[in-house]
Amino acid sequence: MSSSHATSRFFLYSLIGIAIATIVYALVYQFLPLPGSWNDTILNFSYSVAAGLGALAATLVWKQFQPGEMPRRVWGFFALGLWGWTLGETLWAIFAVTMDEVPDLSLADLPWVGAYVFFAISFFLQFRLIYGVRRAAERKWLIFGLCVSVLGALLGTLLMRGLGGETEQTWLETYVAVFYPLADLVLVIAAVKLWRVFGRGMWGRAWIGLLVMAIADLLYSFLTFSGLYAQSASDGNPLSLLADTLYFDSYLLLAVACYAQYLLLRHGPPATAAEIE
Amino acid sequence: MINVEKITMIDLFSNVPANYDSGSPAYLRALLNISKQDLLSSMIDVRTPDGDQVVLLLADGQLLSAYYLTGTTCTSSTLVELEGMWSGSSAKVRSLPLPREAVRSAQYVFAWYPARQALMIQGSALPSNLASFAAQKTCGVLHLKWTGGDALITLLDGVQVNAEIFLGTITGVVSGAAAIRHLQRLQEGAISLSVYEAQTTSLLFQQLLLRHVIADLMRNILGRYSQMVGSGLLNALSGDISNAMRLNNLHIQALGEVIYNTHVFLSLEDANRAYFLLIKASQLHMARVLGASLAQTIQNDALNALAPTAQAILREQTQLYTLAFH
Repeated sequence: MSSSHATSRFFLYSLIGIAIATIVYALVYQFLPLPGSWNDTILNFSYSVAAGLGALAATLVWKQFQPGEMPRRVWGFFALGLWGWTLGETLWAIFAVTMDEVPDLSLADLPWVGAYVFFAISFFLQFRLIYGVRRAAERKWLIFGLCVSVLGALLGTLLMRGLGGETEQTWLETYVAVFYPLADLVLVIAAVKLWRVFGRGMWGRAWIGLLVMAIADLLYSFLTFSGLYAQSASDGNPLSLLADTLYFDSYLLLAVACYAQYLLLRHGPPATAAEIE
Repeated sequence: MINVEKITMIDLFSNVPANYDSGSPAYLRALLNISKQDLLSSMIDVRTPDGDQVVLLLADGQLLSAYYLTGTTCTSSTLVELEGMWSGSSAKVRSLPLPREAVRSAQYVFAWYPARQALMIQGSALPSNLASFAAQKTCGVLHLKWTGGDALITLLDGVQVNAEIFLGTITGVVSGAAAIRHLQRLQEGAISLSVYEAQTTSLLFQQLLLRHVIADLMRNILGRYSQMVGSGLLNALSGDISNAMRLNNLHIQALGEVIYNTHVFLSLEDANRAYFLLIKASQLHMARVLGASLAQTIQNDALNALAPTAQAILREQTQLYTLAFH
C-alpha cells in the first residue's frame, strides 16, 4: 500500500472518528443521559483523553528523530507541552470530581502554565531552525511575544485590580486568568506565522493543529472571563456547549495532526519522482 | 624529483585484468558492436604494428571519443579516420571494462595530452607533491603509475575531487574512499607522476566544473533539509531523487546528503537538462513537505552558500539557472 493511500485512509478514518466523538460529546453535554455527576465526570475526563492522544502522537514524532538531530528538540518540547496540558486537564478533572467547586487557581494550573513555556521553546527552536542565525529579528519577535504574555498579563492584572473594584480573587489568580488568553494569543500569532512559512507543506500540520487549539482555548478564556461560561454541563448554555465542543475537537484535531506528522516521518510524503520530466 | 623524458604511450590501468586479443579494424568494429549491444563502459587500447596507439573510450555502449597517439601527438579522431590511419594489419587489442565514471576521467588524460609535467618521485613524497599542486591551484588530472598499479586523481584548483579518484590494480578499479585509503598507504619506491593540465575552455572541463558545483549545491540543499526535518525524511527525499533520475535514464543517485553522479554527458545541454531535473526533483519533494516557499528558500540559500566562483559557473548556464532559481 502506498504511503499516500495510507495517509488518505488515516485522514478519512480520523474525520469519521472525530465526528462520532463530537456527536457523543454534544449529546452527553446537552441531554445529560447519565445519572448524577457522571455526565460532568465523563466530559471532563474526555479532555484528558483527547489531550493525552495528542501528547502520545507528539512523543511518537519525537522518537522518530535520532539523538542530536535538531527537530528532535523541537518535538521534544512540543510533546512536553502537550503532556503538560494532559496533566493539567487530568488534575482539573480529578478536582472537579472530588471538590464541590474547583478554585480559580489550583495545582492543575501549574502544568498548564508550564506547557506554554514548553510550547514557546518549541516555537523558538522551530523558528531558529527555519531562519538560522541570520534572522535574529525572528528571535527578537518571539522574545517580544513572551514579553507580551508575561508582562502583558502583569499590566492586565494591574488594570483589572485597579479598575475592577472589589474582587475575591487573589493577585496570582487574576494574573493567571489574564495570562491564559494572552499566551493563547501569542501562540495563535506564532502558529499563524509558521503556517504561512510552511504554506501547504505537510510539515506545518501540527502547528495548524496547535493554532486551532489556541483559538479554542482563547474562546474558552473569553467566556470564563466574561462570566458566560457554565462550569457544569447541567448549567450549560449554547455558548458553553460551542466553546467546550470546539475545545474538545481541537485536542482531537491536534492529535490527528501530530499522528499525521508521525506517519509522514515513518513513510515519507507521496513520491514525486513520476512527476519529473 | 626527476624530470623524465617525454612519455610516448599512455598505459592506463595496465595492471587491471583485461581481455587481450589481436585483430584488424574489422575486429574493432565487432568489439564496438558488442559494447553497444551490452551497453558496456570500457576502454579499448590498440597498439598498431607501427608502434602507434589507438584508444577508444566507451560509456554505456556509446563511443565517447577516439584518440590516435603517435610518439609525440594525440589526435581526437572519428572511427572512420582511425581505420584509415591504421593500415589494417593485425594489432594488439586490449579491452578493459571500466566504471563509466572512470572512463570519464580517462578521457581527461587523452583530451588534455600532452602532460605538462612528468616526474619520477618516491612514494613517500606523494603527499608533498599533492600539496604543491594544491598551492599552485592546479586544475587537471594526475596519472600516478607504479609497479603494482596506477591511479587517476582529478584536481580542481589544486583540491582533489574525491569522487573522481580511481585506482587500478590487479584486483580491479576502485574509486572514492577506497582509492584514497590505498593511495595514503602507498609505500612504493618509484612512482611516475604525469600532470595533464585542464584546458579550461574545453567541454570536458566545463562539464567537470558544473558537475562539481551541482554536487556542492545539492549537498547544501540536502544538508539544510536534513537539519529541518531529520535523517528519516532526508532518506525519503534521497530515494525520490534517485527514482526520478532512474526514470529519466540518468546515472545520478542521492545517498544521504551526497549526490553520486556517474553519468557521462555528451553535451553541456544534456548535462543542464539532467541537473535541472535533479534540482526540480528535490524542489518538488521538499515543497510537498515544507511548502513551496520554504523549499525555494532552502534552494536559494544553498546557492548563496556556494563560493562566488561556483555561483558564477551556475549563472553561466543561463537556461539551467533561470529554470531552477527563478
